[in-house]
Amino acid sequence: MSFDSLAEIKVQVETPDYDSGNLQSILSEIKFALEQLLQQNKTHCIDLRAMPWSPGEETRLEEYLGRGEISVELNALGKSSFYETRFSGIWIVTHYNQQDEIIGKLIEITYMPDMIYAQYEDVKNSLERLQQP
Amino acid sequence: MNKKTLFELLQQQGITRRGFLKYCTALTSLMALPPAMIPTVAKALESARRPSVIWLSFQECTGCTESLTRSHSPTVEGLIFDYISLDYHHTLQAASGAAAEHAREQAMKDNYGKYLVVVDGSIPLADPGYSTIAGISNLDMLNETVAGAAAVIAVGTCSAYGGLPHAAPNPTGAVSVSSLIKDKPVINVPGCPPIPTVITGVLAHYLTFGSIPELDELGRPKVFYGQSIHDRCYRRPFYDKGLFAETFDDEGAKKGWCLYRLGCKGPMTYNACATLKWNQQTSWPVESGHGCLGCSEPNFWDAGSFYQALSIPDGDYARAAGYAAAAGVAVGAAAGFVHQKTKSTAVAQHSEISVDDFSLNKD
Amino acid sequence: MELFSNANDFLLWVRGDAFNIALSIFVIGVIIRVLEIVLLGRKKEYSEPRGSEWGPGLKNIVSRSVADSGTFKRAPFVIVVGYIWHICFFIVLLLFVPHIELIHAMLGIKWPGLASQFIDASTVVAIAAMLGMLWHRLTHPVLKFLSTYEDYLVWLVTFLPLLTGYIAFHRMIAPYPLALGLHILSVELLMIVFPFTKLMHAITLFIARWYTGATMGRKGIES
Repeated sequence: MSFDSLAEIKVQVETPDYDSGNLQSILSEIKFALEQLLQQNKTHCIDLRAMPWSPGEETRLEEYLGRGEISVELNALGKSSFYETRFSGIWIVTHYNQQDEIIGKLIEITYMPDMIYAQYEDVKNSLERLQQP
Repeated sequence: MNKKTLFELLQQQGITRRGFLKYCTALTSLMALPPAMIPTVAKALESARRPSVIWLSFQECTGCTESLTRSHSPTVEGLIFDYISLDYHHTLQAASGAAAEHAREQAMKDNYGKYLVVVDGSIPLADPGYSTIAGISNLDMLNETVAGAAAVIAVGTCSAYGGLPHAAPNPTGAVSVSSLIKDKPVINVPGCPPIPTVITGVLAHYLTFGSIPELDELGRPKVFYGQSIHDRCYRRPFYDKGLFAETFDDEGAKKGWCLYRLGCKGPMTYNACATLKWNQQTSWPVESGHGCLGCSEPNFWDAGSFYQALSIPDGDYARAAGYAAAAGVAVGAAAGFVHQKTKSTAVAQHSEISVDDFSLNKD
Repeated sequence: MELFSNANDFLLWVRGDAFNIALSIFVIGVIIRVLEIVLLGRKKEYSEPRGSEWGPGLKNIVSRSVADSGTFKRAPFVIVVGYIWHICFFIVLLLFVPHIELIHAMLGIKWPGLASQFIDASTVVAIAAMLGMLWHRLTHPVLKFLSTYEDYLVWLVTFLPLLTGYIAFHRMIAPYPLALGLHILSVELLMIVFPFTKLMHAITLFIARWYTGATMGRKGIES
């Protein structure tokens, strides 16, 4: 048997209930960012891969934030998934590479993640293509 | 070959602005910069050019290269073939012998003053014959190659501090890159091996900003080596509560308590394992239940047992104390003897006098 | 640092050779001082004993820990702060887990430690107590007159381990190996100075109190 990536190896990870304090601190960061978004229209972004997670902690955060009304899939240099959590204004963004490995994971506190908007350069490119005979 | 900017290269491949931004996001995360830096990274990358990289392997075990080729974000293939120009790496390249050496010389000539030199492995000074490539001694090849380099990246503890070959009694006279190269910036990326994403992160920093990241006093990039394992460890709360595993299979170990007593060197080790983790962020040594060995620190191999708590002295203190006790008893007994002698002499010289001796009218 | 190429080399030396040197001086010094006292002996007592020696001797070791009211009235500050200092110091010394590990490795005995916030608080109190004591010594005219350089030296070598320990624990000096190395070095300094100064009271107090108690006991006097 051979595997191309770690994700193919089915391992059941048991996750004891560690409390490293990461969850509380990240939740208070999110709360503060939401206030800022409402009051000053300031967006915020947290790199989830820069957190010293204990086993299972990241999953617990995702379970707590849950899934909301909208999710978007992007296909550029591999897949990317954007979804709003059950708390409106809090988005979870996951970027994958062409091998389906996670290359970036973020929490965005914003009305809409910037990358979902059509990009100026791309729109310009579209017009150029349409203008070609 | 190096004329096109990275952005132009991506555009040529039909990658959209969204794709480019996604790449920038991944790269920002890889460089351990905050997400707020993504626009800055994007701006820098629009005009970034592929740097030429020459990789030299000296007294090493190839573990660092193994680690790098398992780096995944962005894939090392992508990084090597698209975004840097890896012109010489004698383990990875197909060519060998004169053709390989020619590739190195050509890259040096074409990019004089601008290329990066990555070194893994230490350099033997005791006898150049301990390690040679194409008949050239490691020291000569290093000096010759570094002469036209913009900067040197010492990958792995061997090239950063001498590493295992440097361990006592250091038979090959192994030394680090930074002890030989004084006139070029040397970036140390220690670890045995270093975290693959740290290697690529440092390359990415140079690729993006065309400069070297901020370094600590041991020449390590602060973004990756700025905090100790202990400070970022998810088991830290157990240390503070005084809850420790005493053996590798007791209740404490099963509950994931602190590994300090089992010899964890986390408090003195500066590295990014606790956040970046290993094997595509699956786990890292402490998470898998073993204390940190301190592999990104100088002389970690000679710093006493991996399984002894950091607070325990690592000399032969029992022997020292034994000799000291013997010496103490000998000197103490001699001193006691001298004092007793003094005392008995004083007693012997003691003479009795009567009231008459104090008579005021002696005559 | 010129002697050491980096902080890790410094820590290695402090944990290795320097510790062996300090430990040797400490052991030699303490044994010489104790043997000097014990071997000198006491004059043979020919009188009929009116009581036992051992019981009162041992009792005196404990009972003398409580200051009599006269002494207390004369120097309440020294006694209260002295007590606070000694208690906090022993909490830090004996109940901090890295210290317990050291004792376990050297003597083979161990006991449970305290959570680090208690150690931290005790360290702060101990440091404050020592600063208070120094201030008292410098402002009290009689105490100041009686103080010699040895008193200040003893204060310093006792204060440094507390201060450097606090700094190392809170990682106030970077890199950590330097902070830890300075802490261990300060303890080594204490170990070297210990046998030849008033710090020996930590050992001689038992001998002195036992002798007093035993002499009194033999004479049948309550001590």
